[in-house]
Amino acid sequence: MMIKTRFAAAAIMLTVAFGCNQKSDKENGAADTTAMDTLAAGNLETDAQVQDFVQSLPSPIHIAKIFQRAGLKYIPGMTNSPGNAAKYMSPYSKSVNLGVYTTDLSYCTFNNQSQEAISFFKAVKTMTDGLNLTSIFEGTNLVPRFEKNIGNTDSLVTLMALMSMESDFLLKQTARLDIAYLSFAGAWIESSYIATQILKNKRNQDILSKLLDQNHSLGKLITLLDAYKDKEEFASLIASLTDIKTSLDALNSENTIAHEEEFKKLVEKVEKLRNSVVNDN
Amino acid sequence: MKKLLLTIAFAIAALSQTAYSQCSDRSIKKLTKEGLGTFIFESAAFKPLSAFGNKKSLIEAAFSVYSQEHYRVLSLCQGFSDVVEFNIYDTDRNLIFSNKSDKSVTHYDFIAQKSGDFTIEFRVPSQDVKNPNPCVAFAIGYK
Repeated sequence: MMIKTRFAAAAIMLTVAFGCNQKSDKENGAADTTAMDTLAAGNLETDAQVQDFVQSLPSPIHIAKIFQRAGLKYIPGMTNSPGNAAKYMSPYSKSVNLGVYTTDLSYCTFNNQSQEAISFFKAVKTMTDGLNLTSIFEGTNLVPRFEKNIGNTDSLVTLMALMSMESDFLLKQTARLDIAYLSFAGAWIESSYIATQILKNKRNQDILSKLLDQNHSLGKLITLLDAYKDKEEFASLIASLTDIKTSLDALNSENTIAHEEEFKKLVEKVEKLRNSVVNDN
Repeated sequence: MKKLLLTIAFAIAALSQTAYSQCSDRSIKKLTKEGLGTFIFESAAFKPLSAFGNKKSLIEAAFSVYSQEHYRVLSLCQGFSDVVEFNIYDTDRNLIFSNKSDKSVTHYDFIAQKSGDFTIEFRVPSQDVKNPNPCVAFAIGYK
């Protein structure tokens, strides 16, 4: 009887262990497939420098914070209208405006405009829902938490960072890098738009310095977007961003004589691209 | 006897779960939140070691920094037979940090002197037979 029981116990152990391994192999396989997809996408994006991970871009929330610390104040009417959120139909326009609204959300939050911020938070949610990224908000109950903390900038920043983390993990794990790059493009365009509009009216050396500092992330973004250049919308975006980069390169050069003229060109280029992005339904 | 079988089954299930969950977004997110402390999340990356090829021992990643910004780089490697050595290089590829002399250190805080790409490099130990698929992961935070 005892031998039978021990045999049964051993059989159960083997079954459980084998069963677990099978499941683990399957799931590891799935994880590996996702990872390999990500890796393959990553390989597309790198040329001169071999990278083992997909290159990470800065957080749009951080960029907004950098501008705010440099003295970028809130000016009503500068942002995209949250009411436009429902108008964006294509995945492309939703992805780019996800970034636009993330910057607007950060811009309002860091400048203590929390009533406006909640509208942008909802606009961001509309964009993510439209892109089937619902788990960013659903799993974390972010909207009610955001509403509950209106007026408390520190808490709102914490919630924005949580949203950013959920989004970063989800897009990387599901290898939806096109959305990640387009969203960053939208955020980059919106933050540069707000900065150039403010600089156009009143020159501020600190804000200008931070704007010129965005040249590096722009170069990186253009390189990453290049993997998708065969798609018409991407090609047009890359061309516009490359044109903006030409102006930023010139402004970052030591030849300061032509700076004023080049700055005007930069303002026009950013304004034109930003308006095409927010009006692209 | 029933108690013994239940204990064994639970132990096996727990071990299996631990091995599987090492590179899950859930576990990496949890470690990121804990490790960043007062720093705000900027980005993260994670992959099972097998995704890099079986014999890879040096793994690299680039991350963007802005001049005069305060950052924390957090190594979140899990499941290796030994603690993973990680090195951080600045925009000019100068080594600015290594945990080689004290591998228990898992993060490095710094203020970037200029904008550009920093590099984090992981020197991973040879694969462990007991855990054939450890996780290479890191996160970046800012203040």
